[in-house]
Amino acid sequence: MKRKAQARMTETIAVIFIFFILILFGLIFYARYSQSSFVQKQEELLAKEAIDSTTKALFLPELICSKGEAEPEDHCLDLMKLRTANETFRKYLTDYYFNIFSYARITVQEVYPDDRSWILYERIKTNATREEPTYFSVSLREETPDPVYGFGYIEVRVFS
Amino acid sequence: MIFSKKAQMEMMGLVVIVILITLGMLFLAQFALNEQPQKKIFTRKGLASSTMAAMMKTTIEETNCYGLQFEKDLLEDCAGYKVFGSSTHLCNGKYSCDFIADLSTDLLNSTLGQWNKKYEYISKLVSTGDVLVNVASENGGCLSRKTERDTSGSFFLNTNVGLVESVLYICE
Repeated sequence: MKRKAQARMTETIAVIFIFFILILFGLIFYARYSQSSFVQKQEELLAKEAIDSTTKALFLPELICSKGEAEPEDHCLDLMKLRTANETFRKYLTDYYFNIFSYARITVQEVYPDDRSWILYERIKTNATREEPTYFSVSLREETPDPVYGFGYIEVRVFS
Repeated sequence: MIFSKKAQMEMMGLVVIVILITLGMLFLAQFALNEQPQKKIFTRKGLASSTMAAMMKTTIEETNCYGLQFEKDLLEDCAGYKVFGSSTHLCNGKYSCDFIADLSTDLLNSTLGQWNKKYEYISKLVSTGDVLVNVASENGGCLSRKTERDTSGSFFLNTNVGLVESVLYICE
């Protein structure tokens, strides 16, 4: 009788041991999952910020191709505006543009016909641990009597 | 009675195991079916349409073709060349179809190619299905891909030989 009880005790202890091992595995698994999902969430937030900044930059009245009161052209930047935009951006960086773009660098690169680039906005975070670049192709309009369209892209790099 | 109780306990044990396995499966499924980030989708979609729109609008600045537009002038000329065999424009000594293919290769390679995106650009005559231009990235095109592929949508051009449809695909 005593032996049977001992065997039962051992069996119960073994079952409880295995049960706790399973729970431990579950906890480790969950901890790892929540850690990776936290990192992923941070990356997603940064990516969202990059997209927001890109969209804002693409539709900035200071850059977009416009013609009087007509609808502005999508995915098009005016070269005449581009040439002077850097000065405006720098002048109102802290009191206006920083609220829109935060820590970021916005560059426009011409691919065709020439190979030129303009840094429009630059505010780099010194202790940044992450950066996220987003690219969009754009037309670059030269406002001559007949508009001439070049091909290029805008790069928005956000820092966090 | 004792046996019945023992059987009940065993059943409970089994139920607990089944619940644990189900929970594990649910976690795995959550990992496996995790959707790809919205950013990738948005970027690809936006990129395809913006790249196509910008490319089609591009003004050519090459010998004998100065001031001509990629889509309106050269693609139309290329369609005419495919049907009638004669070309009005000879840019840098190349027929419009060849010139368009070379230029689009350069433009797409310096943008999408640099950003490690695969792409495929096709222009074809809608009526006959004749391909006018087909340019794909160096590491393969996107036509055979069914997943993780986005399109610029169709850009139609009405020419004197019929409708020309142009599409740009971008894939991972």
